[in-house]
Amino acid sequence: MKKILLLIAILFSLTVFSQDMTKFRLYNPAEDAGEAIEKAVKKAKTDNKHVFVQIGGNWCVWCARFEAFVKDSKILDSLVKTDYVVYHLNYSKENTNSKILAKYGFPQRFGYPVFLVLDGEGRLIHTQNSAYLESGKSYDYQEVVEFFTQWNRRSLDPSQYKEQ
Amino acid sequence: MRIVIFILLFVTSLMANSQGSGNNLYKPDDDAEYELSNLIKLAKAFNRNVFVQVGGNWCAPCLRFNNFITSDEEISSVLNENYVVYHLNYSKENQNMTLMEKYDNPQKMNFPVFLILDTTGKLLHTQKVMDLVNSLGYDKTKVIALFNDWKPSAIKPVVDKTKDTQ
Repeated sequence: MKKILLLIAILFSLTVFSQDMTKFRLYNPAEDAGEAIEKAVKKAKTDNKHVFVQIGGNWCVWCARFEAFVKDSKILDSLVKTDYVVYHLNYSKENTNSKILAKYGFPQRFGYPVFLVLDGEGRLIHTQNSAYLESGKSYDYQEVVEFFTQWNRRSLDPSQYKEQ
Repeated sequence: MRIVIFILLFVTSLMANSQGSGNNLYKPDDDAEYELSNLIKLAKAFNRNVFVQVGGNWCAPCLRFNNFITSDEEISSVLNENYVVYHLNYSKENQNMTLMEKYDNPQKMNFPVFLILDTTGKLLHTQKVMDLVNSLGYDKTKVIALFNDWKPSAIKPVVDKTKDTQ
């Protein structure tokens, strides 16, 4: 009986900890990504936000991990929602979106996911190597907080940095 | 006598630890805009990017980092082949606010903070120093990866290829 319980416990913990990739469907290879980014930029401009582009695919475990990590934290989730319009830019066999990646200076050299921050004009203001945000098999909370706060719209407002 | 020797030892060890010329690495009196624009011209001529170390002589980690990348042969060869280097001063004497503003106020991060500019002077990347460390200090692999990820050839040849197909 004890053994069965143990087995059940192990199985249960495995399913909890392994990312359920079958339900990870945030990336849409069929989408016209150029158009979608344009739309996101426009929305960012009206909402006074930046665009947070997560480049990856439904095949990408670390992309799913990052998504879960942010969604699991009320603070991280609200940091994103307050300051960013989010877009998931697909990179997969079906659609590599190579022209768009070329436009943003080949961020794929950092592996996936890699994040871009665009301003309300569509200007690329930051490319984030997500390896810098990792910690063990997940992400580092403090690093992710810093990333979101150091590249939001407020952080680029010159009036924040008067000469001391 | 013993005390004198002890003092001598102490003084020489202080001098050794202070990284020699490192104390004048940053130049608050520089006309930084002028110096940097000259370096950008140089970078263009040699097809390199510009690696700007923002900090000051007051900042021990800034001096240590510079020492780290210049004393390691592998790092300095990647650096020297692909970049020209400028030490942009940020101190009480001179905060270089015009340049700080131009480059989206990198002083919001801890010092040193690094900028990578392309051959036209456009800001390509702002790098936090904390991303380049391990538990022992600066991480050689991470520093080399940074220089490789942002060197001109990491971006340019492929750019030309896609221009042809468009």
